[in-house]
Amino acid sequence: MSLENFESFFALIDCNNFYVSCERLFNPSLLNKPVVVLSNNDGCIIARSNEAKALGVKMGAPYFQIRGYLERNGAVVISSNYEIYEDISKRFINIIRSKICFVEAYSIDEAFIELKGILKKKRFEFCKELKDEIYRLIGIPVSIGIGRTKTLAKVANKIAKRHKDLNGVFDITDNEEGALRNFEAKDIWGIGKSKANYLKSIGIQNALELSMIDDSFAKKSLSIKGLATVLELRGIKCIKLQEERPKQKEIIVSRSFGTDVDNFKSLRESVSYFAITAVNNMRSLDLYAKTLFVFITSSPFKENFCSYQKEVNFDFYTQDVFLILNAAEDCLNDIFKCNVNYKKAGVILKNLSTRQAALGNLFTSLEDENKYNLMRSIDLLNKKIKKDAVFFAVEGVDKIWQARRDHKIANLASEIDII
Amino acid sequence: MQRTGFPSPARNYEKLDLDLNRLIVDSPSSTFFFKTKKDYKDLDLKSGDIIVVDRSKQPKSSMLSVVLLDGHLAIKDSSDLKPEIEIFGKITYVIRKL
Repeated sequence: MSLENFESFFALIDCNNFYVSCERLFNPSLLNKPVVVLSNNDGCIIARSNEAKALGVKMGAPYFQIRGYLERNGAVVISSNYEIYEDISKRFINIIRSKICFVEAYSIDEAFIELKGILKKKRFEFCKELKDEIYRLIGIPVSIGIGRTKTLAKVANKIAKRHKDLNGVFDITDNEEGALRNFEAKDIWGIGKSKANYLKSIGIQNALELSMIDDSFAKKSLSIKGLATVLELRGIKCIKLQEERPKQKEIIVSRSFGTDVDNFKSLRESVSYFAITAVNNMRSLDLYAKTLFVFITSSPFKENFCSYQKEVNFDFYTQDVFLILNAAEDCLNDIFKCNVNYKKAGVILKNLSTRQAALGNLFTSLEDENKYNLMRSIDLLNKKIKKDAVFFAVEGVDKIWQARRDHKIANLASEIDII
Repeated sequence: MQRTGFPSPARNYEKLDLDLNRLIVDSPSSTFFFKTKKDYKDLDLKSGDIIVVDRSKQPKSSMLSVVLLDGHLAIKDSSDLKPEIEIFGKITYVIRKL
């Protein structure tokens, strides 16, 4: 048996219209209708069913602009349910991991796998079975693209999605040249808008033409990353599978408010809530922060747009929710101005580090035992009793600034509700 | 000088915490929990029951299933299902508050 039988290939598994598919799973009345999902706070379109795409609804379109059009065409509009999407996403990754060891969870609805140890002639069959298994276990339709490199697998995936007759799985390897010739350069993974425009200006329209440009020219005009893309299109592996999640550089918690907020109290509640949420996320990753960033802005769509922010550095790496909460309040005190209708606030924890590195810091005073135990106790109560059984008064009780979710669909027709 | 009590003879026999998941969830990736909203006299289900649904299980004739019926999820006896009806999953357990 020759070695080429063991050449390892990549596949990209991508859930079709993921958020819409999740909604349809528990609400079959949405099947075969145009469906769109709105971003946090019902601001813009973040997912579209195929029927909605056929109506020409664009990704990211502001909802208020196309509301009438959607209504006239009988589209169903839904507020996002991130808890459900996260839950289904975890299952999606776990099912893949149960079938193969080499998995990179690339985003909430995409995973790269490396088909190591799978014979050439079994490659396609393996992916087809995986696609069917994912549908059987979680009811989510996926498309799978197979290629010699991650970039080619991405191209193959797009082709699998476009052509219904492929039944959701496409291996680009047998006719790379033909497939790349019919694939626009602007749709390639890693080619953003500006690179696409530049390529157009020098007469490069499709992926095949891009794969044939001179290496040093590619590096000069498209940077080292662009060169990697060019090489990957030729089948030379440059981008590895990242099985470890890359280390997070910052944690952002930020929301737009359902209604504008002009009073300090509500703003303080929201900033406190974001700070606590950010610290909880950070603790769940077992990281420590040295820098805190707080910002508040008015609506960018209204006149007199203003945005205020402040950054503070701690003397040492910390996970201490009390310290960070106080610091966030101090920041807000410093930047708050009266007579502004605030639309958005956020908290960013930056300069993150692991416990090991935090300990190595010269001026470390890692949480003293008592504070640490108190935080642990709060976690435990909230886990045992219910979410938010114990919370900080400064988060506020009624949270009037919370995101709008006007389009939560009460599933009245169904006899049963998902828990 | 330290005083210590007699070590518990039950030590090393501690069982893990009670965990209903370990008893009733075979396949976490394909198991969903629902709550019923009505009584089903003929199926012996009451409104408010928690049903455990596993999509990985093959239908057996004597089972209950969650099915897609006219655009909504419904509960049916697996033995009288027409072949064209799409099944969401098998009901493996019913949990009822008494």
